[in-house]
Amino acid sequence: MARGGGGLGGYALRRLALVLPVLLGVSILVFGVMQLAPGDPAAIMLGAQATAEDVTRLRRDLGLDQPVAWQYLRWLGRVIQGDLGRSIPLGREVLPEVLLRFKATLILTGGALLVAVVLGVAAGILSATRQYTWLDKISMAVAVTGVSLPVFWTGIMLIIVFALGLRWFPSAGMLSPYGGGGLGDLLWHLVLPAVTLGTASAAVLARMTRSSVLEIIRQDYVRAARAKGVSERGVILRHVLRNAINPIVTVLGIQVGTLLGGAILTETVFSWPGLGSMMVRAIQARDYPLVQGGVLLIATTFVLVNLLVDMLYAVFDPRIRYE
Amino acid sequence: MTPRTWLGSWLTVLGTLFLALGAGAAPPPDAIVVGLLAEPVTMDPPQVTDLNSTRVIKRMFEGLTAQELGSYTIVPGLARSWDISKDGLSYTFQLRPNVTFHDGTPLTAEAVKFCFDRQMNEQGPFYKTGTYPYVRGFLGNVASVEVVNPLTVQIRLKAPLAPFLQYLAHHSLYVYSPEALRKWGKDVVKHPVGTGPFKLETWEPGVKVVLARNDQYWGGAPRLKQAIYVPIIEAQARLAAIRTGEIDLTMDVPPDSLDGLRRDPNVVVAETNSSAVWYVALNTRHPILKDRRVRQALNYAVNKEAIIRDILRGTAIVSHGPMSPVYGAYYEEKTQRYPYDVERARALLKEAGHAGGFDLTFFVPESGSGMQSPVEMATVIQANLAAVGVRVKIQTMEWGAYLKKYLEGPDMAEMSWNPSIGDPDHMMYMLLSSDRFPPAFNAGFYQNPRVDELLRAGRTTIDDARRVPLYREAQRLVAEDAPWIFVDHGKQVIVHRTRVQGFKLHPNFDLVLTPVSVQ
Amino acid sequence: MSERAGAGADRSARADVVRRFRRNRAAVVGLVLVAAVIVAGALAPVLAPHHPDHIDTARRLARPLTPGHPLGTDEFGRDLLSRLVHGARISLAVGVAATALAALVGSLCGLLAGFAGRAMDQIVMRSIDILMAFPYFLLAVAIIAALGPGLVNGMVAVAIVNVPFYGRIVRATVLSVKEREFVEAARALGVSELRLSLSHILRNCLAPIIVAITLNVGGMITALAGLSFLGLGVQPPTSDWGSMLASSRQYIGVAPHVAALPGLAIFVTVLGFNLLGDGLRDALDPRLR
Repeated sequence: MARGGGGLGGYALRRLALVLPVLLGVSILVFGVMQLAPGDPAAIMLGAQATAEDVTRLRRDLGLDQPVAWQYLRWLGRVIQGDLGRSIPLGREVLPEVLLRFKATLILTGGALLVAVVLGVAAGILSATRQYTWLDKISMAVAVTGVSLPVFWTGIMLIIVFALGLRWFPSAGMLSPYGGGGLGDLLWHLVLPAVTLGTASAAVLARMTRSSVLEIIRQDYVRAARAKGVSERGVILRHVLRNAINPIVTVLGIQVGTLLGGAILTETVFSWPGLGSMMVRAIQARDYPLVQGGVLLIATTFVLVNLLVDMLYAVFDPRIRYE
Repeated sequence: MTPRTWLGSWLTVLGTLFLALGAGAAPPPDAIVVGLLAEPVTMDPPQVTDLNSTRVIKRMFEGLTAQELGSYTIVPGLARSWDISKDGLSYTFQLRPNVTFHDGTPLTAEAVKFCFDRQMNEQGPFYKTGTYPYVRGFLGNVASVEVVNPLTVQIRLKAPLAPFLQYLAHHSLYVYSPEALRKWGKDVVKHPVGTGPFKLETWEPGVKVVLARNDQYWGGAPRLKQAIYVPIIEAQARLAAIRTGEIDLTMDVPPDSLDGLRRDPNVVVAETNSSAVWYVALNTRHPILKDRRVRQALNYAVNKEAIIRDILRGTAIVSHGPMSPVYGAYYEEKTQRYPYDVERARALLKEAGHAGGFDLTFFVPESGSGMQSPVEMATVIQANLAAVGVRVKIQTMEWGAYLKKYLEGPDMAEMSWNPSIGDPDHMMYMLLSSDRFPPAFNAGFYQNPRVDELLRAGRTTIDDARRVPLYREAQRLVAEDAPWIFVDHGKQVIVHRTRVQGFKLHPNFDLVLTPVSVQ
Repeated sequence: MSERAGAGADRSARADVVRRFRRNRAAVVGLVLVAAVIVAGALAPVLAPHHPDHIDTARRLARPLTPGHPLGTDEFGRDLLSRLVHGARISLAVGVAATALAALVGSLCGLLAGFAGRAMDQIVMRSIDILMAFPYFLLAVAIIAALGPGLVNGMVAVAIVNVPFYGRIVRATVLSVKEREFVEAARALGVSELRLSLSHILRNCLAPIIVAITLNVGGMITALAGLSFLGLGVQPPTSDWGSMLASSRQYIGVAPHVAALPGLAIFVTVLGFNLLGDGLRDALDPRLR
């Protein structure tokens, strides 16, 4: 295998070079699937009042009467110039719209990730260091439970208990309708959705952390450190976690994708103004430009996050060679 | 400390912290928070096609004519008065003087002409600034719009058209500031500038739309200082939000929750009959359904009372034809009725030679504006029809694909019609005239020459007294022909907090805020 | 013993796996849960007191322990017990079928990528990258938009979304196995590449795939429930748990049991498969314990 450039930088460049073809593939895939879907945006927008003539006229205005390949190339041509077009029903430019929604999705995903890491890693370490105790069993049982519940179900139950019943948190939205808008307001609205979305990932992380920590805890240098009288906390922090962090980071990278993809349901349940729920509506309205733009943005993020994870992997574990 | 109280106290601490950071500010006086099903799509009146957008933009824009609050009666809007020529072809409107748009520009005949021409003239400079779903329907019969003087505008029609004054009260013919369109171009969708009692303050996409009181409103400034609209997609979340007081007013809560809401001292459940109709279109060209007796049998077989009582929990009335009693004089009471009667249905099917039953595919949208509980209702209809031997296979579709299927004229499909204007033409002609075969909305290809004749006459007859008998006869014929399974006329149900005062329901599902105040 | 040493070692390795599995109490619990659900589904016609689609709207939302309806009725007055046991068949069948489809297609992709040379490897792996970069739930929604909602289409959609998962596992295993001595030796002896794939590689891939499958079935069931939540699931009156759960959320306030029971059923099944999968993994690969 060629070792052009060599080292981390070269590897990063080669990986980056692969990003474009993948994104191109994603855009062709989404375009193809949307074309296969019956229904067209003109008829949906016009609704019941429309005559056949109206539909034809609107299709022509939107350029939907052109051959599919031509439509795609025209779209691609504009994307290269940085123009993602305008949403068909919204009439707004796609790029600022999806960026705005994506920000909300990132906040939600970030919150969920925090929940996942804090709960997951803590439970994993706790479990591993107290292997076979009741604490281990309980946290692993909770972890399995976490991945066994449909997300929308968890969300609705949380609304009923914590919003309607106890009234600790709001039932919907990202900010209070009145004034509000501060950081506290945002965090207050974030708690339930982030817990809903983060639970499953916390469970996966907990299990991953537990097995990584277990594996390392048995290795000689850890025993040696213990024998030298390093405190238990010191052992865990200095030796075990440092070495266990690699598989954890890998799983975390995968979880970012899962969270971005899974955010759709959470966003719908909590009316979170994110990209996912917007995309579902866009698909149903056959809003081709918005679907294309949104998917492209999520895919780019996903690919870059994975790249970043692989880089981190290298930083944490210099033994890894890149080819 | 038990684990529960331990958790509880931590959360209390957390809650206090959030409050300290500015979360959950108390609702200010003079503002109402409305929980919508989704956020508005666009705020350019001619481009609006959905109910959520309509409910917001109608606060900011007005038409030449208006509907009186609580009825379909046409009253003066931006036009103070009008004259109709004897031949019914020329309408001359006197505009209200001293009316200004929210941007300060004056309302003139020129502005009215500008707005209509934008939609009608495909070569016009602003035609490309939007898409106009209603243009052919509402302006298709308009020959020209002429400025007579700064406050007088004359509209000439190609042929007399009875519902034209009603059309002018429809949001797609509302008047907006030409200056704003020139300034914003295609982005006018997020920069609404009208003459209405409220104007746009902020729109945070996906989060909220804030309208502020227009102190210069010609009809007197409204009592509310602000109207805030938030989208809450999930019905359970909407229900929780109205019960906790996070929002002041909402709609489309699950029907089963209404009993609980009626018992809640903090909320009021307001309901009224509407002109909406929910039906199952039957394809009259289908080899079996083309027999009128079969279609009548299906009407007898479906237990509409049970659907309304058990599935819709009383939020509808039984439908005996396309038009609901809300149409007043136009409503015909003495039509053929189809009470739930399994024996009668079996007998009719036997008479038609289908005692052994037959198979049909039943197309059902999984959701859709005004569709009530489409899948649940279809499930009951399916079971009802199975009881008389008609084997129905349900095919649900998401709305986009469904509409396409519907406009191809399927064998059997659900639909609801929620007229935005109150003219009977907008119900009967739109849905049952043979001029409106697919891809227009007469999806069952219903054709009765006499009905066609009556509906065409109804369109061009301006005199109400002469129109009423036409529509009454048409309703009798339609009921007998049973081109649909007539199911129900949905009620409009709005839930609001008791602090909301003076709210009044409007028949076309609009949420009028002008007379509303909050305590 | 001497002439059958190989087989004996094989057998004792297998016995080791079984012993490790049986020692793992959680895994046994998982096996029991899964078996119980399978039995309930198999015996559905016997266990169900009513036809699962029989509607009686006058007796809707009856509480559990109502005479004639041990678990109560749903929003149409249909017997919940009957729907749950019939639903077990559909949910299990769809969960397993979707997993099997994903595993089959994914494994083929993985084998192809691992064997058919660099060019093919690049093509297959980039295609998998494309599928992975596509937000998975959105892909499922888009596929449903193209195919139309329904049981089979929903299954196909969640299966396609999971193909990359298997493709990557199998390819990685193939690559690591290819490097090992015994493959080199076999190749030196002139055994064809194809036979190699069948005899050695597949056997080595099997363990991770089996584990992945058991862990994946539960995910498939919850993913399908998610599709039902968006109204893209099975067609009425079919009684799968996902759609039961999704439609019941309208009645949570007035009849919590209608929502709780299918939720519990999904939970128990997914839990069972997850415990089973964990147990299998620990048994097959004791290093992870």
